[in-house]
Amino acid sequence: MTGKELRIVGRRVRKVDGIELVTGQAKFTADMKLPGMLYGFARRAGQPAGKLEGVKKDEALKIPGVVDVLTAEDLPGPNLIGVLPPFDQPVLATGDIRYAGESVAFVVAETREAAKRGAAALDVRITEVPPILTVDEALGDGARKIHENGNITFSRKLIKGDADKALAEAPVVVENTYETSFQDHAYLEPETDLAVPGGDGRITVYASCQSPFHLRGLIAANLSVPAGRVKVVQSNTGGSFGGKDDVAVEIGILAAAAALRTGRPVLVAHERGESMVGSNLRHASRITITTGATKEGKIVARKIKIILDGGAYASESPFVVMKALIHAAGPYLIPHVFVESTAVYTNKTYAGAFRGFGVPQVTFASESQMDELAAKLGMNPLTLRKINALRPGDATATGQVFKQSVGLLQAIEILEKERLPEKPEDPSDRYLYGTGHSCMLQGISNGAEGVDVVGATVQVSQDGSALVGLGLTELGQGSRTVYAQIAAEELGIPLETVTVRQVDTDSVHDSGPTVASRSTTVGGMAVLKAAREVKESLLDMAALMLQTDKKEIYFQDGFAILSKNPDARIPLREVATAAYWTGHPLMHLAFSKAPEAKYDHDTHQGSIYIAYNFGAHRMSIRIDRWTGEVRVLEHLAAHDVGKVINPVGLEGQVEGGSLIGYGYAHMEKIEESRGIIRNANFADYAVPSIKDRIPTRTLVVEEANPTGPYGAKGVGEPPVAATAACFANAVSDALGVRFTRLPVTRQDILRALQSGAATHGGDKNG
Amino acid sequence: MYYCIPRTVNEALQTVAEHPAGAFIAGGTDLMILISEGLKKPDGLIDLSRIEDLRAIRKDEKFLILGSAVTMRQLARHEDIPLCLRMGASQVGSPQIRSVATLGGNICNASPCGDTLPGLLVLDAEFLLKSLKEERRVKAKDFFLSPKKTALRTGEILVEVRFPLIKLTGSSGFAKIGQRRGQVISQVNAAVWCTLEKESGVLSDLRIAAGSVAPVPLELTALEEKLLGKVLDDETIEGVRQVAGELIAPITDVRATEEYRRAVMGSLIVDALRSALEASGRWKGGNK
Ligand SMILES: Cc1cc2nc3c(=O)[nH]c(=O)nc-3n(C[C@H](O)[C@H](O)[C@H](O)COP(=O)(O)OP(=O)(O)OC[C@H]3O[C@@H](n4cnc5c(N)ncnc54)[C@H](O)[C@@H]3O)c2cc1C
Repeated sequence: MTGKELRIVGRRVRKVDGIELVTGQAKFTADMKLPGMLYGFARRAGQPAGKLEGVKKDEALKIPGVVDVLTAEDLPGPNLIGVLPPFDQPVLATGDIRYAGESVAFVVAETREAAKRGAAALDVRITEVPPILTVDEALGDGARKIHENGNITFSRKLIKGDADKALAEAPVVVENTYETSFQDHAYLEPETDLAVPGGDGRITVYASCQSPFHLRGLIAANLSVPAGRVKVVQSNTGGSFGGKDDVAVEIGILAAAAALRTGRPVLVAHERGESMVGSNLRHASRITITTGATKEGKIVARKIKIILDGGAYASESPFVVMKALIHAAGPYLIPHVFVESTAVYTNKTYAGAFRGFGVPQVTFASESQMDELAAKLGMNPLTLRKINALRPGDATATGQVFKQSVGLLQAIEILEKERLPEKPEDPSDRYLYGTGHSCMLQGISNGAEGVDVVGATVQVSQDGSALVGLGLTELGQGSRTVYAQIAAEELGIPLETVTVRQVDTDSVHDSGPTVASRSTTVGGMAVLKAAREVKESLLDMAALMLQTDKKEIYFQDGFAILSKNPDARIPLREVATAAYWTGHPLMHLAFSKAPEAKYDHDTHQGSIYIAYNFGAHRMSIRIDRWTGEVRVLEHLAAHDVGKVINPVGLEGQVEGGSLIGYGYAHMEKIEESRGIIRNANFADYAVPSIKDRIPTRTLVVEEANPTGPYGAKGVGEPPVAATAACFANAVSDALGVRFTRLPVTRQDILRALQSGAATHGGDKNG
Repeated sequence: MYYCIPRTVNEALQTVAEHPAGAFIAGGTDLMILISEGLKKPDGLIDLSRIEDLRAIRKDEKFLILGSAVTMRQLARHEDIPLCLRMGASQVGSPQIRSVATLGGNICNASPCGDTLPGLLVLDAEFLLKSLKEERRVKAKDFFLSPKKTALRTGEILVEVRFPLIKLTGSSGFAKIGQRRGQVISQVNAAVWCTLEKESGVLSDLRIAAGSVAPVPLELTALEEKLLGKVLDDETIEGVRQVAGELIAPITDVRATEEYRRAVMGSLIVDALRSALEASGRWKGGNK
């Protein structure tokens, strides 16, 4: 026994906050009822483009229960939001109406119903302007400018080698264009903020949100007060997936402004329809790829053009453009790559961050094309991927070389070892069977998207228990459990004695946004460092008490133990108490700073990410020829996660991410006509139900990542992209026809079968 | 806004006579959505769900009688209820919805996609409608006029639904398809009721109805006639699949296209027939 082997990290542990959540004890923002609380409800434009001529408040103020109505002029600050430049979105519309969900006025009332009635009673005058609803219209010659700077939100290029020349010389070339639809986050809990005036010049905002410091900064700016006056407390958050950033800021500002005007708490709790219409979606996309290869299947070049429909506002479009750009070539060693990635404004609900962040779109396109190339070469699709898979020491599309933690080949090999599920004995010709594969990579943490620093504190009490605080949020992904495991591991104390505190901006260090699969990797590292500092201090104390050198002591199960004689041990609570009385520090704030991205901004060649998660998926499906219904028989999801911290949490992330990918690929489609979303509810927008769960099996590769705690790297986003891509390939395999548009719904499948497009099992030739 | 909880049907009728702008509420799973979307604006609610008589399932010599406030959960679990109705009820919404949603609400809401409605058609159900003035029985096939429009008059309560006990001697079944598997509104649904000749397996009686394929739940009489006297072999089944789509009048909406509804109509009827006959081992529908 030396205390060296891991005892808590790597163990299957239950979510530390799980019991409260499943028993309903956990309180969410909308559960809070404060004395005198008012309810806020926004009046939305209801049409996709126009000029706001004016809002008359009188009729609304006459509605019983209505207390106040706010329009743009009533906001003390610049009336501007956005999580990154160009900050182009107003909180309340002033002149231009750019999408139907735009808030034009905000009504607060004694009850929700009165607020809604007030919003309906407002006299809002908008002069209609013909909306721009497709990227082609937006990019067309002489198109009306949706924003002053035109209709291109952001555009970047990646240039490695000479793709045109290599393609011209390539013996085998395939080309195709792929499209994907918008997707809603569809979290259980719609967006909710509650603003409470403090009576001391401060205001507290309880928020269901992802990045509380974004809220604090933008709320303070729009109230024209110093940031320190605003305290944001992240309540339990019922899912976010990238969605509770811009909109949480928007309603936070509205609630806070109204709370300051009325001196009363103001709650804004979106309904499902508002959530779908008035908060960001996943970008719709159109992606054209040309791939050139040798006859032996070595890819020599890829040329890719990506157009993302970003809707009315920039939101995180710039970063999504970059992420799509960097990942579009796939997890392959390709000497010549050219990618152009562009986000475009249209008069639709804006698009922004959503689990995967541009990678699901490009992975679907890229992996579809891998199958097309394999077909053209007459090659097994998995073999083709293996031949081209990135290996340690290979250069990625950005020319970055990882000497380790490149576990793609191992992930593919795990799949190869798994036997395909047997086709059940089926004497009818009703069902078709197919199997699809996909490989992918996903950059971990912010990388080129910005600074990447997390500050975490670990505080040990005199009873030997620990309190962890950092600015990254628990959104259901299980990060609290991971942080607790790391602190318990480092301090040698039982997991149950570690608490990870709620994030409130008064008490933790700004740790940047909780995005990009970075919580475990960068956040975990900060906790680890802080815990080690406190441990050093406790070791000093224990060394005094055991009268030995601190190198001779280890901590385990809540004891300071002498290595040479494990019977000689002191409870850590005694060590901690002694440390308190002797002035040995019991708390530490540590920072984990990822190595900075260094790259050329014109070509995107250079070091972009600290690590990549690599994945290989396989899905086997059965299709009902009569109805187009798909049953997933098996889904294998292999990911190189560096090191598993909590296997239960990992499986949860992989299964949940896979289901989002499956919904994206098969069911979910925002139906919009003339700029109005027609299915802004869960009856018509088909997010998967519990009965649509797919039998995902998580398979693990552990190629240690030197930049993560214990070698770990994140896995929150990657399964989405891989699942969507292998679903599309499985359907194409079953039907013998390539689908180039997501989602591939039952209706699409049946249409392909009946039109004779499907070469397998169609009614005409089945 | 007032909320009344009458304990008897008569009390409820009195209440609505005094409050003609009020609305009946049973489970509220349709009504509350209409109210919150501003599509209905009653000045108060009259709750029918606590009237004991309306919650009962009973038999007399000739009929099986279902109170209008019987819930989907009750229907789904009651062994006397024919499969076409039980299966329909068991696939409404989610467990939460099924424990409050009622048969009467499904009927009076009269959505073309209501999952119990085709079953009621093939069972020859009759509805007892009561007002302070009169009491009348209307056949299911005459009750539905157009989407959300019924023969129900202001001030009338749907009290009970009944169908002849003889219907219990046949086999029945149900199938639906939607955009996903759980908690889903039918893109198309179908119910069948049939009897087979003992030895030959020839269809001696057959009723077929479908939902979400016309403005009202629709009986497919032409198909029934075509199939009577036939055995459900592979060829017949293929025939059903080919023609059923032409016998309906679907539209394209946000949930499905007209084309899709036509394309799957036949397979849903086949699946409903299978569910009717498989339980008793009488499904001879080849291998399909
Ligand atoms: C999430 C969700 C999922 C759903 N899924 C399905 C589904 O899969 N399949 C399906 O068919 N439906 C579905 N529905 C719709 C609904 O649940 C059913 O139509 C249900 O049967 C309605 O019953 P209720 O008791 O809730 O009706 P209520 O909403 O209480 O009433 C509906 C209408 O009928 C009137 N009414 C009710 N009872 C009487 C009576 N005895 N006499 C006169 N008028 C009366 C009311 O005034 C009202 O106009 C779903 C609804 C929701 C919210």
